[in-house]
Amino acid sequence: MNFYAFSALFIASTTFILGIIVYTKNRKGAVNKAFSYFAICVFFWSVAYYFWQVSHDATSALFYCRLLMAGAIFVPVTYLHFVLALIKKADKKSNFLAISYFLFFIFLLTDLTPLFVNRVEPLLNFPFWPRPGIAFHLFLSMWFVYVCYTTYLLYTAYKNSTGLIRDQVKYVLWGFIIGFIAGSSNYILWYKIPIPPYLNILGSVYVAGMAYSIIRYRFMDIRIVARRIFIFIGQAVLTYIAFYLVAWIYEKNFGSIFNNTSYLIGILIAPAFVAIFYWFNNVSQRFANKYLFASLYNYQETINKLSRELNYLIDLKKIIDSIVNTIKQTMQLERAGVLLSDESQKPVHYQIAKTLGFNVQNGISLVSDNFLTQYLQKSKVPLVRDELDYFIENTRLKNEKEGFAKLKDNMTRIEASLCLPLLSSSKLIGIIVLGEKISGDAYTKEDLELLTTLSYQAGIAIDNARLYQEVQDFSQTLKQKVDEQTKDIQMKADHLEKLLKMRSEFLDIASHQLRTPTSVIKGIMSMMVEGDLERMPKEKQKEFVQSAFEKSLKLEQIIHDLLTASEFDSKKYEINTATPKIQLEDVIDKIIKSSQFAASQREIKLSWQKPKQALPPIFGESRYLEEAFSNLIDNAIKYTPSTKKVNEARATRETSGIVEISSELSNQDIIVKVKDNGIGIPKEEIGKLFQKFTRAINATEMYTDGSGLGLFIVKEIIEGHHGKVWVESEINKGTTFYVSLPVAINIK
Amino acid sequence: MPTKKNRILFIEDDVDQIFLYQSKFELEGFEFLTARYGRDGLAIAVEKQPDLILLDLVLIKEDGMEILKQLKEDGKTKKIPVIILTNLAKKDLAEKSKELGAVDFIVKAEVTPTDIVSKVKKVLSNE
Repeated sequence: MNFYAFSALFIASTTFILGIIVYTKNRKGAVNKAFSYFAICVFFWSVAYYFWQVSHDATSALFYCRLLMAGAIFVPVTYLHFVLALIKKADKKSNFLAISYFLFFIFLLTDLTPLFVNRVEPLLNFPFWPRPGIAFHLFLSMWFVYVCYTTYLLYTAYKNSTGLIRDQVKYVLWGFIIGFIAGSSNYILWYKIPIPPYLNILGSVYVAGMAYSIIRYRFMDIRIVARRIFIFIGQAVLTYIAFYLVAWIYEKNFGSIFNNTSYLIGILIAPAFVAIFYWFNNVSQRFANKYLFASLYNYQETINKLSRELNYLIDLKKIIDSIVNTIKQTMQLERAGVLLSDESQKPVHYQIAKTLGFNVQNGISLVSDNFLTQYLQKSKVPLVRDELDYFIENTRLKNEKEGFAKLKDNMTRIEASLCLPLLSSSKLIGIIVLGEKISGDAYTKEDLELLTTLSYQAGIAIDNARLYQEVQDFSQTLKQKVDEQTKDIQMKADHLEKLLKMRSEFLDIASHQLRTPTSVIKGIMSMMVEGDLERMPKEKQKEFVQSAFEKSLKLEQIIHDLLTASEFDSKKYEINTATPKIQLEDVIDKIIKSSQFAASQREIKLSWQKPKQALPPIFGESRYLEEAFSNLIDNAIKYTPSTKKVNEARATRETSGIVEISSELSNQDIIVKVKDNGIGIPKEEIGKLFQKFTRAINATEMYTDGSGLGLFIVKEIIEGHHGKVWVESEINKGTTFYVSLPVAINIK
Repeated sequence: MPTKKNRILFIEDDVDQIFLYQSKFELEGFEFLTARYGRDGLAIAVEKQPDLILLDLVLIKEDGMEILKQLKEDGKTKKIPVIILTNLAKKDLAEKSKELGAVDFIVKAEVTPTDIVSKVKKVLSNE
């Protein structure tokens, strides 16, 4: 066997293997089919080439020459077919392709005649070199035109592609360029130019280019097959070596494999071989994974591992962590993320649950990309960015075309390569978004199958976790509600307890305040009944009766105050829409009139500077306002000492008492002043003056009994009228109470 | 009729009541001292050594219980019997005043001045 025969066999075998791999990977793929046609031609050519080279006579050499040319004739057109399929133009140029096939078919017909290969004759070292007929020259020119044109097409495809595709095409392009240069080196000698086809063996460089593109750049997506074949060949080689090694040892030592010693040794060798085979299988798989296909994974193991993890987890966050990490590690990705639907928003939003490696600043606008979610909901299969071009080309609907184009832009911007639907009972509950592989490799079909399986499991796990969380949230809400209500009940109980305590305090104080005048009246009356009074001087008797009378008045006053205060206690008074408009002057007029007697008794000058112009009306309840002003004016009179000792007014002094009432209009408020020159109020007591049962110390000194409710009632009434009451006082100089009430237009 | 007038100290802030009880007790032949403030009452008790003290619980900014405690703590006054005379009819106050050493707890509105005089006489005769 000479070098040229060997080169032919080499090309034949490599082409055969590659052709089989490509064809079996996808029998229906246009590219795969077209390549197999090409491979058949090359194979046919190279096998015939071999037989030509080993021919011993001119007749058979001529026959094989014509046979090899039959293969060679279809090389350019199948090459064209393959490239057109590869650049997805086979359909568009199907007429051109058919004409080309027809053209080269005519050349095939001429190949049956001497018009193509005329004869064979010795040339250089070759005993039977073919000589061209007239058709051959035409064929060769067509051959060059077609090969150059097709290579140009491939070159253009290389120029116009980017990323992975560019790399894929690059090695295929170089393989074919070198392959065709090598192949064409055969034609030089046809024209008696004395250069032998040394380069012929390089014809199989295209196989190497293809193979490299397949392995390194996932060309035609057949890496997995290549790996299997690598392992398969390794196993075959091992078996082959082992068989001959054993056979050789047997023959050397036992003479034959069919004797008793051989049988016994065989029993030992067989399991040893199985063990070695098993070990070799693992080593070669590891080797293949490590050196040829770094990102490959054990499909089943990955699924099992994730399933186990997902089964244990109920926490949504942990599940998502596990999914993202598993996918990112298994696929060796730059970026991975999970978006989950938020059902609480309408329309449903998809929000980031976790991302690794994605640049957040790019904004994952897929979130609101309705087209994507609708597409995934409908198709339920992974969406690969590189496939979007194909979709754009193939869809006829304008809105779909735009949708895919926009989607492609969005995915490119956020550097996402793949979107996987997360489904739960065929409803889209989220999207797994994946970036490129670290290696730059594309996703294989096997990757997508694995990812689809993983995403199904992930969808179920996420759905379960969400249900679990919902139940948890629900019980949490329930607990919160119970807590709130418990708190509410506790608050109410506390409030009730406070009210009860207040009530008992009120009763204690009230009974004391009621008993004090009662005890005096009762005491005096009993003395009258018992005749004690008759033993006293007339003057004293009169004093006793006067005292009893005053105490009875006081008793009535206290009862009245207690009732009023308890009325405000149970329900705060407030003016409402039914409250009538009244003139405040009328209220004050009335009180002045009824207080005039008490004032004159104590020689106190009670004056009312009634405004010359009528005041604007206010919304008010006269009954209440009379009560309030009467309390204030009575207090002013009562706590202004008299210049003479009258019945009730014990304290005396030189300065005559003055109580002045005046009013003014200030901004939409009527301010009424009640000014006296009485005992005043200690500064430290002013703060709590308006509280219930509070009396200033000097007031108590002056009159020990009093309800301590008067000013509380005043405050309740004035505030009920949306007004304010405050006081200015100086001890022993006098006190001024201010009441401000809004005029009627101010209140709604 | 006692040969020597029994001396009573009445600590009470309300002048009307002072007027009432003073008239009654003087009619009954007692020497009747009065004090409107607890601190004055304590001083009079030490100085005048009354035979009995009538003490009100609600005084002007003073607590009658506190006065009772001080009377019973002071060696010069602790032997003087004290009757609480008040209108603050709280059960726990009655118990507490007995614990502190008061001989009786009278709610004014429930009795007449004559009742009080006889109670005082009874306490004094037991002395």
